[in-house]
Amino acid sequence: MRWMSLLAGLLLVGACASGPGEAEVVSNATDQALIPAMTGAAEAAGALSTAAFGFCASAHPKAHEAAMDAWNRAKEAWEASELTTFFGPAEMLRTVSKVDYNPISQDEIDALLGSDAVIDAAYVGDRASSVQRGLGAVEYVLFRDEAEAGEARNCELTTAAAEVIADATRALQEAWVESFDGGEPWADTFTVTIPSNQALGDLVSAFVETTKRQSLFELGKALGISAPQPEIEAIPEGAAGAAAAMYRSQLVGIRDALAGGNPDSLGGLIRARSAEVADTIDLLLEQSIEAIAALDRPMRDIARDDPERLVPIYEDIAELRMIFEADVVSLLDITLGFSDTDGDTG
Amino acid sequence: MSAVLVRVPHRATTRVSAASAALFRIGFGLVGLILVVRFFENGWIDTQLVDPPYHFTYPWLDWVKPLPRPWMHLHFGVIALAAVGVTLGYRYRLSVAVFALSIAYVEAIDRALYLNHYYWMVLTAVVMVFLPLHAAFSLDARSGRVDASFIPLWVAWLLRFQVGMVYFFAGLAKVNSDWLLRAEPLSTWLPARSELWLIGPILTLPVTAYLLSWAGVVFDLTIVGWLSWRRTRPYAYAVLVGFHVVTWMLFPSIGLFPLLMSLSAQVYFEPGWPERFRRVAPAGSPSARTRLSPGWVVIALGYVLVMTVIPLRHHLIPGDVKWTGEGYLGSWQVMLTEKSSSATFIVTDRATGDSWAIPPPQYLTERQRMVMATDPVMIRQTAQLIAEDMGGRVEVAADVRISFNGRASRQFTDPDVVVSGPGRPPVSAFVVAQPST
Repeated sequence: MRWMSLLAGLLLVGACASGPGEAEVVSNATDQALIPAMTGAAEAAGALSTAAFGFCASAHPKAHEAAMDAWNRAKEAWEASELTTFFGPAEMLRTVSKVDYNPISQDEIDALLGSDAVIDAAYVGDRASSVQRGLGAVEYVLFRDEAEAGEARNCELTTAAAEVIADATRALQEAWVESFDGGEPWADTFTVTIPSNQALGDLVSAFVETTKRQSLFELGKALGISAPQPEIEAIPEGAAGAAAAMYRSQLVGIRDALAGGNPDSLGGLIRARSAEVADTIDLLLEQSIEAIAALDRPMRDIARDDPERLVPIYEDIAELRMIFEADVVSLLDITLGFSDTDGDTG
Repeated sequence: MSAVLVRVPHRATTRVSAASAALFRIGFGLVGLILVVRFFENGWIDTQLVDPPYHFTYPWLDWVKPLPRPWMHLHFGVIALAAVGVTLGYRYRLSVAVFALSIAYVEAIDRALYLNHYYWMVLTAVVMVFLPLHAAFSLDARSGRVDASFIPLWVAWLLRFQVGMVYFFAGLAKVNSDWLLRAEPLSTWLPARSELWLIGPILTLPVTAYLLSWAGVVFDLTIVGWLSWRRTRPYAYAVLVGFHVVTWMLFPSIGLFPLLMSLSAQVYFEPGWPERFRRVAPAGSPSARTRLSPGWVVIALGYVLVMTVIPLRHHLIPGDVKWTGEGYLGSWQVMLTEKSSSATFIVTDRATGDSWAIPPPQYLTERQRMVMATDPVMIRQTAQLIAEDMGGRVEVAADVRISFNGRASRQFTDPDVVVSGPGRPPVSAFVVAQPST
């Protein structure tokens, strides 16, 4: 009887002392960050599609402005949900290929516009190449003066691509919350079926990939830090000049998934293991989000004219990547990627 | 002293039942077979051996390359056949020799795939070639290719050494401040198992990591003694199996190690213990004595000496093996370190002096990238690889940060030291000293 009491006591103390459970953390991140982000992306993409049809029906300058605003909102919402493209149904649904493949090919889009093809949603979704569609293609044909943007072929591509984007973002959201591939919703798979530690690994892998791409492959190259010479075009920015909003949204997506203020969140779990690491992540995220929000010109312009202004942002994001890759991986005892192999490496 | 010199050889040449040694052979062969099945089932032959365009190499073994896909699959088929031969004791010496060579070849392909128990299997298979483990429970014995069901006692001793060294040196390696005073890496690992039924919440308690750390070191350092003492042997073996079951439950990725050691440790029982379950007495007479060839004595003692020195060699190298990795291979540092790292390489164009940072090559596998970034030798190989990829016109330094046994991440390599040079700079030249905290 004494042993039973002792065991019960230990279980109770353990349950109280450990911070949030991993399953709870994954569930909270899914319900409070990932699904709302995907829902937001689907809604904003739907609004873009509506605005694109509205503009092409009226060719009115205000409708053009409304369509461009809708594009900006759709882009931001999509980037905020980008974490969900690194794992789960997105690969099978080819979501990125339909919504925001980067880089697009302006030459191939011009070739499509100059062809005899009937540009409708079916053609864009099934037959057009990834480099001819998605938000990048819409940006390319929409962000011109309204007369040119309203030309018939441009409008055909704008409306068709916007419709494909809306369908693809909705399909991803439905795969998470309703059913994926005829089975259970992927949210259930993510929060219940697969081990929580692996789900955490998926999330942190997405953090690492996002910050690595932003720092080493884009900003770093543009600033000549991760390339022999500055490569301004490494920043994925088109006519809308939306790179800053894109980076900011991606970092906000990470911040929302961490939800550091909530003790039952991923950020809370990290804090339970190391307050120092949690504080550093919070600080770097806030710092970089604020610094990016303060940028008042397209990032390519800043990289060309005033690159020093972007260096602190690069450094903060590079630091974030290292903390996710080294500290967080260690604190949560997770494996990045899917490199299963036989046995210990200790 | 002289009495010992007489008595030990006398005891060593005493003929004893081969039953326990034969069970060792059967267990080893079965695990070898399971290993092959796991490689086929999980696709590791392709993903780990055939597909990667680059493999990290061991010193002097950089000529070892993977076979083309169909031949590599065939090679694993050969390993499976050899494992079956070992299990059944059919053409035993040929089977175990083929197994040893085949598995050694696989292990030599990529340093990033090093595992302590694969290394042990290679060593053991090589040793087994010279031991008559087919004297019982074998097709060779049944067909008359072996003349008796007895082995000299020294064979059992050598098998016990082979098993015991893993525990003893693993225990010795645990005698360090991280393990004993900080309960690391268990303090990091156990909370991640908080969802285990019933015991999950207990695993998150700091005291649990300390208790298990101390229990682990006591177990490793003393289990050979308890197994060797007749009175405690059955209980010790039960504890050993329980220990391995628990470690397997807590750390499923540990793979075949628990099964391998649980099956092998039975060699500490009396050599004839399985005979109790046989109706027919073994053929031949145990009273006879075998001849002890001086040459084999020297080889056996030499092997024991080498296997004792290899795990301890890192003490002769400056720095902590867990941090520098120097002297790690073969030192039975089993599950002693939790390292996660972030690696970037600094490339400098020799002609222009321009420097820039790049990530590890994308064509390395996830596992290669992960293991490489914690191992200075592989970091150096990666730097050399990058330099070769860029036509040799650049110098490459490594900027690696590591989180080590629950500590906040810190600089691991000096980003100002070129490591891609032809002279292979020593690890101490580019790995920064381990911080004291």
